[in-house]
Amino acid sequence: MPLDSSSYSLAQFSTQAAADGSSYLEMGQTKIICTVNGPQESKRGGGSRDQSNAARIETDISIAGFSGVDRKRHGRGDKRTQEMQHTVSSAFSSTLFTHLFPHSTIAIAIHVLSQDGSLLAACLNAATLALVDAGVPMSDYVVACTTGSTASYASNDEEADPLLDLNGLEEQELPFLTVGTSGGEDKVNVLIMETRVQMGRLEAMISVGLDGCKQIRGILDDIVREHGKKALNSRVN
Amino acid sequence: MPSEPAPSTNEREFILAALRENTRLDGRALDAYRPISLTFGNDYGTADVRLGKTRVLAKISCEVATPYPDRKFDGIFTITTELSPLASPAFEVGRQDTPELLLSRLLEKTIRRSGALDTESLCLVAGQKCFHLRATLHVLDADGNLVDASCLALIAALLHFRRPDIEVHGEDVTVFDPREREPVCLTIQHRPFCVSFSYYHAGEVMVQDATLLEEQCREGEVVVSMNRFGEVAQVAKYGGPPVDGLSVLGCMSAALERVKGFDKMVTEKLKEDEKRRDAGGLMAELSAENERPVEGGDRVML
Amino acid sequence: MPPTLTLHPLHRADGSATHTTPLFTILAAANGPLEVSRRDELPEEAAIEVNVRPCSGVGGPRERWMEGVITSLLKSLVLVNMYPRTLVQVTLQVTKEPGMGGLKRAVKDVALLAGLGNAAFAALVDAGVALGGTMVVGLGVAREGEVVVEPGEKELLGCGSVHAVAWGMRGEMLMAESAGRFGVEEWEGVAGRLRGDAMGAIKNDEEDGDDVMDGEVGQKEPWLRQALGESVRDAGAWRETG
Repeated sequence: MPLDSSSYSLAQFSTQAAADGSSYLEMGQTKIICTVNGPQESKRGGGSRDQSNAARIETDISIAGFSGVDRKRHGRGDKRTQEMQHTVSSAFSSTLFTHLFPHSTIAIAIHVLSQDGSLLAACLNAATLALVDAGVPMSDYVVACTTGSTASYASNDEEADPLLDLNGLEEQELPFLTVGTSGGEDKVNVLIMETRVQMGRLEAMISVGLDGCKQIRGILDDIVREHGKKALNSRVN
Repeated sequence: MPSEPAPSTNEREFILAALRENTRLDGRALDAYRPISLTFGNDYGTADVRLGKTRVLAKISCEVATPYPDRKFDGIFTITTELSPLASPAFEVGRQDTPELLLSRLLEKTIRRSGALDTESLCLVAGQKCFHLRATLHVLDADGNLVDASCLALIAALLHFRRPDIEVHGEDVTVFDPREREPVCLTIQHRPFCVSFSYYHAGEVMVQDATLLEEQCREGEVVVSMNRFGEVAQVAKYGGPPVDGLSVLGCMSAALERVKGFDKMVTEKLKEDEKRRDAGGLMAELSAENERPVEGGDRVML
Repeated sequence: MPPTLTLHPLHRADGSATHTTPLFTILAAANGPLEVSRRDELPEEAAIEVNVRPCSGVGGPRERWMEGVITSLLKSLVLVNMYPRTLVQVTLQVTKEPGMGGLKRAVKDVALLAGLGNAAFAALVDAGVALGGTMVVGLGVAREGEVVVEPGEKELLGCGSVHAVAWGMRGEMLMAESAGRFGVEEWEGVAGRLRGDAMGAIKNDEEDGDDVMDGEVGQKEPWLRQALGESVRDAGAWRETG
């Protein structure tokens, strides 16, 4: 299934000058700003020095009150958001070369301006771009996308094609999962599914998801190279 | 505050080397669980699960409350998981840290989001009265694999629980004391169980039911929740080194086998408990005739 | 029926105990001496932290109050000066409570305090924290001049007042909490009865002519001494075989 690459055309680099790295990503109506600060010295006050021998990745996701259909305040203590923060942090823990930066912290701040499905996937993709912009050494991109199963419970139509890159409405109706890859074609880095689905459907969903990730990886790679070229040219002139 | 002592380099290397040869420190097979014991308390809705040295106690209680205004036809079902220093000195009181967050989210997704409990059946009068079912999880000893043990305890406790019987006349609700009327079971729509896989050596070695030491040495984990019909309620792999898509699918089929075992065990234990209760139940019923309180709501019988 | 005490039911905590009465079952864990946060640090003694966790749900003001009472009780028992700048942490988990058909919360709380105190003490003994002595918290109810000790649910329901009194091994009173309506004589009657029982619970069978008894007759078997003695025997068993 080809991915509508036009929905990614709005992926930008270095949008925030104050941060070490930043990105702005639109996936359909899901819009995200991501900034990265670090690697920097841990700001854990109170004397106790960070004795770890690898950098710690701290993620903070704030969801704007106006991002969804209903104007709901998203408290910082929201467990769902905290879980996403944990997911982003640990997704990058094995991809970034954290061992190069002992006693330090890499802070990822994600601001969700508008949400319309594939939120976690968008967070991961935006964070990848921002980390590249910040120049944090990493072994590979972390790219993610969602897939949904259209097969209904009643009719046993196993061959129904899974959907790729769901929007908010589709996420409410269909069982879906978020799959993220790094370090190889069919290597699963992140896999989160929260809706009930028959076991037999998962295989097709995951394989379509991995295929989607491959396409997104190409798109992100193009953007990174484009940006690199621009940066290089401006230096030459 | 004290933190969990990290395993020494020697310990870690030994465990990893042994796992490379498919050997575990306690001699179990990679897909074997420690001995599981499930016991029910004297009160309804109490389940005590022991998984090796890990021990979890689940308790269900219920009271009448007002439903949420945006969910008029549903009862309220909350799961409380608070880790305390009982289980390990590393758990602090009143501070939520990552293990606790993940435990509560996984249980939430497995049991609440998958619709294991029919919350509509807890509604008494739409928009005014409903049952508030409270599931409290006490982790008493933490020696790895808290998620599986907690989920098993919760499901068993939910199946074991009896809520008071009710009678609704228009807007009037009579809640009967357990002595007046036999309490009734909850409506459980399906029984999902969690199975956690810890992986080592970039996903080449998948281990079920890891002990605390094995958890400290692992690269990452995959938690699968499903019922015995192979309906997956939740899958979670929060980052960590990437693994093959195929080995994730392998986890699914392994989980199905395990879940079928869990389901069978819970059914058997419930039956045993029923039998144990019934032994005294007949006698109690005979004597109950004389003790029936007259001032209660059960006037129909007289 | 005397309370039953099981020592060391948990693996991870330094010390633990289960205390079961017809009313409550309490699981206690004691950890210590631990590193203390700077906020709670005391320069010359150990800080004591007590956490009471209810059977269902999360704790509220009542649990906080009980924590306060138990903390001050333990402070008079633990040799806090032996562990300066440390923390002794006691967690008390209620695992079984009575059905509570129309039982007043105040009555229930006082009844619970007795169990919490005994469980906390046993857990501290199991953890090997240095203590200044042995103690027993007794529970008694007064009802129209009549005193019932170790009440069941039924006695608790119809009582006029309920009293939880902690007695140390030298006959000193360490804690007294009451609820309900009662007079001074009534209270003295209950406290005296509980003192006798407390002395009985820690009475040494082998010692003859115990002057601590003061002529009061403990009716009960020395359950606390038995439980603690057994654990000491078990702990020292390796000496005999070796």
